[in-house]
Amino acid sequence: MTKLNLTEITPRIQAHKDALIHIIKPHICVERAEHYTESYKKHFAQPIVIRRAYALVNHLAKKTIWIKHDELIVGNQASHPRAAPIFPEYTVGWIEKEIDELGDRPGAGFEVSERDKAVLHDICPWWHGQTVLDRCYALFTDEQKSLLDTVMIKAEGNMNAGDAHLAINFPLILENGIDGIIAKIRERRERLDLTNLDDFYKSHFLKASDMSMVAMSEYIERYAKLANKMAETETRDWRKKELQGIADNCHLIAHQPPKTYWQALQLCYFVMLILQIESNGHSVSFGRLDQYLYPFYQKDVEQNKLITRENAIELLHSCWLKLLEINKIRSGSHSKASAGSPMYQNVTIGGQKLVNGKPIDAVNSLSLAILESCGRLKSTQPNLSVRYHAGLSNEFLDACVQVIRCGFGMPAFNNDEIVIPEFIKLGVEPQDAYDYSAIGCIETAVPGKWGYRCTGMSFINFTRVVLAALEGGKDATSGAVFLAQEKALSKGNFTNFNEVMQSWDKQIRYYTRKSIEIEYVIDTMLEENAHDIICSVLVDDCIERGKTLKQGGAKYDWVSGLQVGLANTANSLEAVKKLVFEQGMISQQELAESLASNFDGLNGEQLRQRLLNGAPKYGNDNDEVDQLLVDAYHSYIDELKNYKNPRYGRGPIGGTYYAGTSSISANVPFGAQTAATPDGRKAWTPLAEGASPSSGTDTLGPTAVFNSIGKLPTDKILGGVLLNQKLNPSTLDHIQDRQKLMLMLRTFFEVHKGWHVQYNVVSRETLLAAKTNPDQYRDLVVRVAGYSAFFTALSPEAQDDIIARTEHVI
Amino acid sequence: MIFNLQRYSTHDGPGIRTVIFFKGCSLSCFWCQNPESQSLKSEILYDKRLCIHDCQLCVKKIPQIFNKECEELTIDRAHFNEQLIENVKFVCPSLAISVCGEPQTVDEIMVVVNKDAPFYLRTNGGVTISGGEPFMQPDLIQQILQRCKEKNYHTAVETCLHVPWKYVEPSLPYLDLFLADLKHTDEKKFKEWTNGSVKRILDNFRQLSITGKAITVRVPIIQGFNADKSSMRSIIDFAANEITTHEIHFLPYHTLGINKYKMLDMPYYAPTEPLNDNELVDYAMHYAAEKKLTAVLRG
Repeated sequence: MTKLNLTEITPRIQAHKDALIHIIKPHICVERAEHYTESYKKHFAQPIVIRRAYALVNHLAKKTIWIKHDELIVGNQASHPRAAPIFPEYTVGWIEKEIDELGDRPGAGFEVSERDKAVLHDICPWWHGQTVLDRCYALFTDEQKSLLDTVMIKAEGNMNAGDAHLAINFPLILENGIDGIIAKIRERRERLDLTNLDDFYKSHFLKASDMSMVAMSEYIERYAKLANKMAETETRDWRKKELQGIADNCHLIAHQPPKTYWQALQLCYFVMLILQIESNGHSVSFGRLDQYLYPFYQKDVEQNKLITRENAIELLHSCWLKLLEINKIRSGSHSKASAGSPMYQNVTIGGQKLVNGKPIDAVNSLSLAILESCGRLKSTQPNLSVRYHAGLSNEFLDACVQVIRCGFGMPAFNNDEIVIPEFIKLGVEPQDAYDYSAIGCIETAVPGKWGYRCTGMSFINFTRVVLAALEGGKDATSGAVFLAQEKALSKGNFTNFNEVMQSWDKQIRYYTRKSIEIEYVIDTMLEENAHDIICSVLVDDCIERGKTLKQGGAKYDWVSGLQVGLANTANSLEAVKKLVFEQGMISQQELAESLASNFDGLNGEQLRQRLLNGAPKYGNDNDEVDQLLVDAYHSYIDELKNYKNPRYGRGPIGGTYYAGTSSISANVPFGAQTAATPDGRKAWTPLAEGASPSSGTDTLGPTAVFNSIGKLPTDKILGGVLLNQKLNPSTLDHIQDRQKLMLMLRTFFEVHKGWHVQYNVVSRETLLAAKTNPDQYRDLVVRVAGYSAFFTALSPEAQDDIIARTEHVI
Repeated sequence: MIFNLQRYSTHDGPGIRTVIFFKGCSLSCFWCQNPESQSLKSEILYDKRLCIHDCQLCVKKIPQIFNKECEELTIDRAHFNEQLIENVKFVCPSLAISVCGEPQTVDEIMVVVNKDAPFYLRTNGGVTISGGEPFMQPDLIQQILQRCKEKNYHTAVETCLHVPWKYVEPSLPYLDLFLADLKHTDEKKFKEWTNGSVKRILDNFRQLSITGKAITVRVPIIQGFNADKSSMRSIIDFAANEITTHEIHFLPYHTLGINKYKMLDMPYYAPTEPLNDNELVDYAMHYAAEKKLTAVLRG
């Protein structure tokens, strides 16, 4: 096995990283808002798609540009590093409300100058009534508004930002260059018949596309000029040369396909950047960078030795830091669901490729260089995913484990063995299925061919729906009754557990339908009001169809919402089943009262402990509770089959929905809105995240968790089955231990057809917290002395010992 | 009688394993890290950290055993018997009180063991029988091992070999690996710290060696007991000269099991500090290597 170099970074990269990570409160940047407002006003007579093109043209021409930190990859989203631009066309509501307090938001504070405030207060009123959010609210029924207000269903992030969650066709732009794409657009425009209504509308989008791509080209030229100008005054010879190189790169790729690895990476970055200037949707991803960049790497590094491998890694580092500079401001409530300002710019490596119809391992020397570069930088961007498959070499898998051991939670794994066959079953062509990549976190799509939101539509709080199902349809948090029913624990009128499941089935089907209704409003308002032009140009077959992604331009279009609190749902149902109906240990009313009082008093606590410990929990390979989750989830999945998304029949293959569990950090704010639950969880505390077991309840170790997860209908949850596991760094000290982890992963992926797993290699902080709140950390496995043990089962002294030891490892 | 089934064990033999802990031991080593394993009977464990303030449920339901005053729970362990297992097991909602050790059938045990079969087969792992001293229940261990072998799992046993040889013999055909403790070679010292006979152990080692089974010798290093060069030397000499061994593992003493003594109301006689003697450990490692043994330091 090769030992990776996971420490070395060049001084300028280190300095750049330091500069960025010490920006505690980034600025906001009002330039985009100013330029867009100016253009929207000036071209108000134009169709919105063309108005938007004018706005982008205006902004790219005028926005502040800079080259800092001796960087090798250039391009900036906002006027300062990590400053967040404002996108008024989506919403101005929360901005007006929160602008004066932005500095004080815990964990999501932004610096706003008095001038910025004045500009925004000046700009925002003009947008009233014409933002995406305003238009959605104009259409929502009272019932839909109420569902959103109570956050039984959450769709805020879909209205105050663009969609994104996709990777565009990078190979297309690398092969054709910007001029090549413009030529393609113009050729398509020539074939339009302006006496045909369809073509007439297509002409708007294609004109906008033409304008936007030209603007992109001119924008890149601006960097060529800036770099040249800076080179003139640069006193350090080496940097002068670099600046000239940057100027040459930009000048070339503003029009032509890139020739070198450096130019190719630079062009990819510009695309990522401009997509995030055009729209503020997150999870804009690279797709399979190690595949389409490899020919350049091979030529420059391996054949012509134009640059060294270390040069190539430094360029990647520069690119990764430029990704970290891109930022997004979210409303206060949305920030909580996206803790830590994540952008989820995913890079996928590994996996397979089809050669003459046969799948072969796609790992190459660039895959390893990318992996190593991320391991050295230990940054949050890019979000690195590895596509696992049975033929992945031990060498590469070991390299992945070495990086996991660094403790920053990457790479995550997606599993070819499940994703590819399921995509093919769904209707994806084999060539495309083999080319899938991770998008954002764990969700997957075919880069360059798939519309937005392969996941991340509206969120449903499953756990609150359980509470409603148990209590006459009443939401325990707001008191609202959306779908009334006779049966309620407080009335003691459930005659058996089957009635509870029937009640759940009715309730969840109702919320599923409502979530789709809400998505229809949002989808169409985004389609009509916030066209993403460049993004559409770079996805097949938008140009040929003359349609944006939202109008049905993509080759494939499946979307998924997210279901939050799965483990709590299963555990709550199981506790009711076992303790109320089977053992009769707790009466219906007693449970209802305890939940209502949040387990108040000694009796409440005794009952809560009974609920916690007296019924099996999901994640322990217990067939009964695991099956309950499958049954409960089935109601949702079955209901989804009834619906088509708004692009159905308008071009794309697909046009339907599937389930998804990659609910980012929504489990925390959703938990904060969820009353006490029958799994013994206290009110307002976090729910379980993704498809992972509830914290501290999976006490039988990782194999049992894998077995539980393996029972879920993964083939119906193509929005992703998220599993987080925690490991102590010392668990991976020895090569034998890493091999065991590798073999465990192989078993999980090949036998259990696991969708995804990621590792938290836990730190001292976690161990300290685990010591203070052992209930939350029951699943934490630590290496003790010749054996491994569950951390919380050790004496305080032993825990101290291990806490002290861990410091040496991280 | 077993007291624990631990899945995903990665350090008690090769690969990913499930460890089955048998209850009951013929030794009572002062430093034992699993004191709940010593008695052949079910026992009550009490974890004060989990006890609910002001809660009197156990006292109300089973007053003959539990008494709680000023948040101090006292347990009359003499009154506990097998008839009370079910009552005691479910009495405490927070599981501050639990029962350690329950009779389980081979079928029940195998249901759990089989759950991780794909992991064993993939990692060349399997099942390790631990304890207590597993050979104290010769029928149970033999039956479980036989069932495991039918499924092609790798099998190992952790044993102190302080049992009559006739208890070991029936299991031999179904065992791939012995992880056997060699704690000392001196009869007097051994008797004093473990209440057992070292002669019986050494004889069993020799018998075992003749069978040709793979043996990993495990040596705990404990201050006051064997943490000195001459003890190490004689242990290593025995392993090198008198038996054929696969590997020798040294396990420096740690105190991670102390809390369990509190949970059982048992006194703790072994040192309260972990071993801190790198020189001795180095010596043992080097000496073992010199004697052509594969020496491994676990910790």
